[in-house]
Amino acid sequence: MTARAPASAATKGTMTSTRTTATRHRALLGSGAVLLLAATAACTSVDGGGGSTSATSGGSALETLQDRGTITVGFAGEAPYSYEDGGELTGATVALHREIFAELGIDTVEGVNTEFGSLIPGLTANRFDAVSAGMSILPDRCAQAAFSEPEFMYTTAFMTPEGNPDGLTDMQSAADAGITLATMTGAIEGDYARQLGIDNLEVGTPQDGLDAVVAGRADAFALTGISLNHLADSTDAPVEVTESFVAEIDGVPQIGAGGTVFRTSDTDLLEAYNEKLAEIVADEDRYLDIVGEFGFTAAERPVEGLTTEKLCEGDLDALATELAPELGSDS
Amino acid sequence: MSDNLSTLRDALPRLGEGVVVTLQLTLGGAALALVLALLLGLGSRAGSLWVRGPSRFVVEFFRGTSLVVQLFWLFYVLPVFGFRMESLACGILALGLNYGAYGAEVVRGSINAVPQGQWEAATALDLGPVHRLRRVILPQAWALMIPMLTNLLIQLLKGSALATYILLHDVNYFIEQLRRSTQDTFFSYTVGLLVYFALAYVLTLGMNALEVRAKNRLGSGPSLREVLRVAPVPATTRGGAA
Amino acid sequence: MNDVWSWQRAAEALPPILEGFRITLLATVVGTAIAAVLGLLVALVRRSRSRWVTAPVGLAVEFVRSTPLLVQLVFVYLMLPSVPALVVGCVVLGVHYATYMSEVYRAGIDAVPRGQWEAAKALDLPRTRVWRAVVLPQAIRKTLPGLGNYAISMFKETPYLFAISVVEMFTAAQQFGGRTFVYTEALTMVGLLFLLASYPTSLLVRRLENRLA
Repeated sequence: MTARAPASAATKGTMTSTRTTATRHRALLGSGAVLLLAATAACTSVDGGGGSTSATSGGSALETLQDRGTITVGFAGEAPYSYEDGGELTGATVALHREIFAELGIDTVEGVNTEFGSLIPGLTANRFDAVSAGMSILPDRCAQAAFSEPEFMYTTAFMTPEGNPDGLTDMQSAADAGITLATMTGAIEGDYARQLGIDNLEVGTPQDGLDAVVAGRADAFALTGISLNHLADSTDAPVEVTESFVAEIDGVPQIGAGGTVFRTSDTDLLEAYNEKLAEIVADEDRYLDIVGEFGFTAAERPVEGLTTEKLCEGDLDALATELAPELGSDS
Repeated sequence: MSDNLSTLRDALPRLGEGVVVTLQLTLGGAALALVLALLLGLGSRAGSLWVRGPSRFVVEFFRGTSLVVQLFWLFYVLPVFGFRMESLACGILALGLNYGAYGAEVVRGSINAVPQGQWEAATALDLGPVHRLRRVILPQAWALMIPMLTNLLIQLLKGSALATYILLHDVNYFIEQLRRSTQDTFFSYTVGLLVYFALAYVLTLGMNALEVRAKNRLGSGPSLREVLRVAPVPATTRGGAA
Repeated sequence: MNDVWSWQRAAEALPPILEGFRITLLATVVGTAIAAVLGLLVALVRRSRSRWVTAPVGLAVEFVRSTPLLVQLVFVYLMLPSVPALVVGCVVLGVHYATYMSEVYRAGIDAVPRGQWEAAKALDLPRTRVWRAVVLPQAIRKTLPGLGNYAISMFKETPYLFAISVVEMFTAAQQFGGRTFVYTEALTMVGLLFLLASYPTSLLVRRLENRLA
């Protein structure tokens, strides 16, 4: 049957082989079945990832979250918007979220750390229920996800080696200098670079951008002024941050504002969130109370008349004219 | 250096967690791969084209596309079609599918390598096809395929390093964390590579033990206990002496 | 969300992906060349009789072979900031696959019949001549299918270069997805491109193997 029966000790093996092979095959079958079961469970699991929800048919995400008492948000470790400090999730957007969700009856905010570029896909895949990264509200993105009303206005800045050797002041100067600019994958600064024809190196996280400048693989790193200042403060690396500016493409100031992102299907959650957000934004003191400790100032508070709808439409020229009076006093 | 070592010592619990995740991916992926390899390998040898065709197609498809593409496709694109998967399940599925396809070729080759005489003898003894496979052919093929499966297993372990990019906190993730805390790239990566090397070594040892057992049960090699015995074994004729 | 598949998006994704394909091919060709040469060197060195030579080289080969290519890439990339990313990628790919190739060469060299060695010795040929004119030509013929298969493997592992910001085919798709937040068309097309490129090639290699066997 199997190889010819050999010397004594091995015969013992063949003698008991039938029973042990049978047990082994049963074990293999059993583990195979378990694996299959686990796979189907994982596949159809509604509670995928870090305990995120998917609205049950007819039910609402808001109610599910309120019952749970916890919401899971995605963040990209971009200080000071949302990052981990000593294992604790913190940051300006996180503080805002904690305040707003608490008012909605959701007491705990947990985070899933991921690359910036994975935030929206992760949201779609139900790995988290909201994106807490102060994401820029852009027309392309509005088609894929539901933005809250603006939470911050932001300006762009460059992180350069100490002394700013290329003399960078704004996007046009970067284009003129012919430098290699590092930007985060999925972030707006990459779009600016591409539109102006600047040589673009994409990185996954703010830390990678810093590393790229320090290592000399990029001449500068473009990100929001607030993030870069925070990043520069937290490291000894020989870098500095330029003055913040509003990026201008073809003479049109790229007014930028960021918000929280929800799935397009979670409409009730979005509405409830916007309601509470409006209360906070309207009250300058309360706004600064929440986000002030992270380095945000009155300049970042969204101005009256700046709405997600207008930003999604994308007519920045008209927007700039319309908001000129408010922006004049703010910037 | 001592700073680095003390940071490492503090980080050991997280290294442990990372190793657990890597092992979950590797062993889970390997289990799935083995099941698929057997199914597809046997399927590729079937007489009927209805079975053989799809088997060969699946094998060539997963061998011909890159593991990286497969993994990220499952992670980013599958949810769009309505299937939501946890990262770990995603990783295990991608690894299992990809290496299962490679394993299918190994299974097919090993079964082909079993001497023709065995098939004939089994038929002469009036064993049904399932019985023939289970009791005669597969045990011999199994002993033959273990070395090549070991190679695939190590490649699977190496492939698991991708998991850090789909939000899993495996050994690769740990390396990056260690780098941030020690600010020493060389130290962190050397530690990480050594961990992977140790894991590969342990897995290889395990597979070698499996091979010894497989050969022993065929009667063509010493038992594991004898292999591990420290005292020298007196030279006697072993295996095939009949 | 919009529909699951958009041909318009697919068309937009194609140009950057094809750009990246050039880099993929370049990395594969250069990496294979490095692996072929370095692998032979390693195989020759490991034939040395001195343990002081074979032991460290053997250990290094095992180390590189058993640890993830991904981690090796990032490691070298971070340690050598002044080296362009593509160069780092090609070299690390080459070194990693050289370890596999050295085994193929070893098998090829071992497969040269003993008679050839003896005849060469009988003809009193100098050592280098023996290698250059007798052994290696026969050995290398046997290694060509192996080289071909590993080249195809390397081609499918070039996506690891995304981790060091080399914009080959897969990274291009990832970046497109990162910008538009929809990965479906880009990743599917890249997968199909890999299949379209590697399957016929592997058939060719198999044909070569049969011819040389």
